[in-house]
Amino acid sequence: MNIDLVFRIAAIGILLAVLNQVLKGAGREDMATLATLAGLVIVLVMVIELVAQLFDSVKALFQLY
Amino acid sequence: MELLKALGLCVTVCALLLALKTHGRAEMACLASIAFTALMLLWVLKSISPAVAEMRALLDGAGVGEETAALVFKVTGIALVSEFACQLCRDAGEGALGAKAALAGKVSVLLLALPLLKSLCGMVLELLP
Repeated sequence: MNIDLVFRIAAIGILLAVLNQVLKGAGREDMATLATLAGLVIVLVMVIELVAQLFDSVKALFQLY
Repeated sequence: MELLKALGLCVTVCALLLALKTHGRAEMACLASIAFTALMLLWVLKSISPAVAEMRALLDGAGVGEETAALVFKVTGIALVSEFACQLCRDAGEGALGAKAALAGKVSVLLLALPLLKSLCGMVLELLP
């Protein structure tokens, strides 16, 4: 049960929140939104990979085609 | 023991998600909840796979038709996956989307069970005088 994925996602989320504040403080609004989007895409890819693994195991276990 | 670990993790991840939400990162919290739900379901499936093999052997022994046994497991799999998607949509606040996911699951189960229904009706008609 590799739980580190969920904690990695949570860490990315919190890091992004901090990064957002820092960039906003420095007056770089556009960079802040870009950083948030980049983090979101990374996390999305990780989650999609995990859900694909889940669906494969369901398909294998119940012989769904 | 594995169960206690999993349940404890569920509770801690809830607190983590709430922290993410209050930080204004609702989308990240939603993604994290999807990830952890998928992980929990994976763990449950891994721990239930011997039971499924056992049931399959039991069904074969009980003389139940081959395709009926396969149908039972297919329907269970479809129910599991559509339930997973439906609850996640509801958690994210999309009640309508969740309802449609549940509807899709029900329709696919119905489509699978149609031939069985037909043979059942045939049997009943034979029994009638």
